[in-house]
Amino acid sequence: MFEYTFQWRVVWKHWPQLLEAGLLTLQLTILSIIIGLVIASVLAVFRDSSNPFAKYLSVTWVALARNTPALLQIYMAYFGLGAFGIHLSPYTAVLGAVAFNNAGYLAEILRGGFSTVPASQKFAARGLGLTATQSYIYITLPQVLQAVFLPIVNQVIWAMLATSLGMIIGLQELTGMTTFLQSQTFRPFEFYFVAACMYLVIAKIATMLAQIVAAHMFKGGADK
Amino acid sequence: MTYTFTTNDFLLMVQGAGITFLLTIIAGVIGTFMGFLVGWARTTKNAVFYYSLGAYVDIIRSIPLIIQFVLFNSFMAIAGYPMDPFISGIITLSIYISGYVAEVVKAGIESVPDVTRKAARGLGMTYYQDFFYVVVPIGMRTVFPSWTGLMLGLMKDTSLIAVLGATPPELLRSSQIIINRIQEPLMILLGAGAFYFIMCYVITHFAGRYEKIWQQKRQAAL
Repeated sequence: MFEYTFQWRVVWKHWPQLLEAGLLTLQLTILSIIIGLVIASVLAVFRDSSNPFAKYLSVTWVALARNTPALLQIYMAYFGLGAFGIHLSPYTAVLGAVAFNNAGYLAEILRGGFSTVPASQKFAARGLGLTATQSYIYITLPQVLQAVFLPIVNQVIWAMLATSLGMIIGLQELTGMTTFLQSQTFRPFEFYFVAACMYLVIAKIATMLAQIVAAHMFKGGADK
Repeated sequence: MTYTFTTNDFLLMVQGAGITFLLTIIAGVIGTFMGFLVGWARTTKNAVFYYSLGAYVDIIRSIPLIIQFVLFNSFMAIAGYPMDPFISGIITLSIYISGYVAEVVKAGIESVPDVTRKAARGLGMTYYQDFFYVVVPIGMRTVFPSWTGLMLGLMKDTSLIAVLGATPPELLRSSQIIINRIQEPLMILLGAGAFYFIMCYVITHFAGRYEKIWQQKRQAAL
């Protein structure tokens, strides 16, 4: 049944390229999460704003980001924006689309986090003589951070998986580079296997780091 | 010569939407069944099940779906059983979503308080009676929204089956075929986005209604 000889040496020969592509994946993930978090904080505030324009912008963004496939969003950034004369490089298109997507999901996570802190706590803090800033920093924020920490870590992993879609528009991040190398060497299984292991290692390290951070930052770890 | 969007193009997209829906349902049903078994096995107090299936869930959730598609497809090929991309795509999607469903099922089973289960056993129910008449109904209500979310995610993820070149094309792939011909990416992509949006909206709507009916029944029973 099994008449296939695995050839791992060819993978080893291209290891530096894979490692470099892995770093690009990491870079895209981190950047897209940072941009996503910044936009998401704005969207979460806009959601409850009295300005109808801000409110609709937030609602529309979240609905669009969450109800269409990430791949469609990447296509939109890469092919669709061409209609407006905007021609993005694959790197910018993937970064922009994944950040757009992250912002939609993170905005909901943040909103959920803020809703876990009852308004009465803020009033109590103000009543005890804390200023608005103090009550935000010492009372609200620590609880919000604890509530949103794990969902955000999940989103980081998800963003890493989503950057793999860059391969479809020719970006040479980890999946794209793997596809390129296997097309040159005709060893798809070996290359994709190694790439899968690399993703697994990155995800494991990220979750472990997050657990260590959570254990130090919050009493009793992050909320499940 | 310019090419325009024809009725046939529209029909291709409708067919694509149908395929997307079909893929979601088949992979959703198989994946939910598998995920249920995995999640349940992880809550029995068997360490072997707990850790081995934990690794299964972890691995599935940390590897991009594209890579899972290609790995499974090429593995079957080198094992001597080359498969139709459409079939291997469905199998991969089912395995992929089962990893996520397993976590949801586990959370659902764990959400049922231990005292409730002990009370059921105390009333003379067997393990399976307790499981099917007490744990499943209560746990299912808790995790139903998360499960709906997973199915929506699955529907969006079916678009990745295109990397295998599976035929017939699902929605995003059929849109791309049309884009290649008429070179109007913006309009076609907006159309495809609208299709996805509507399908997501319909599922969310029905799930919401179902939940409401459940709650009304519960209110009536109390």
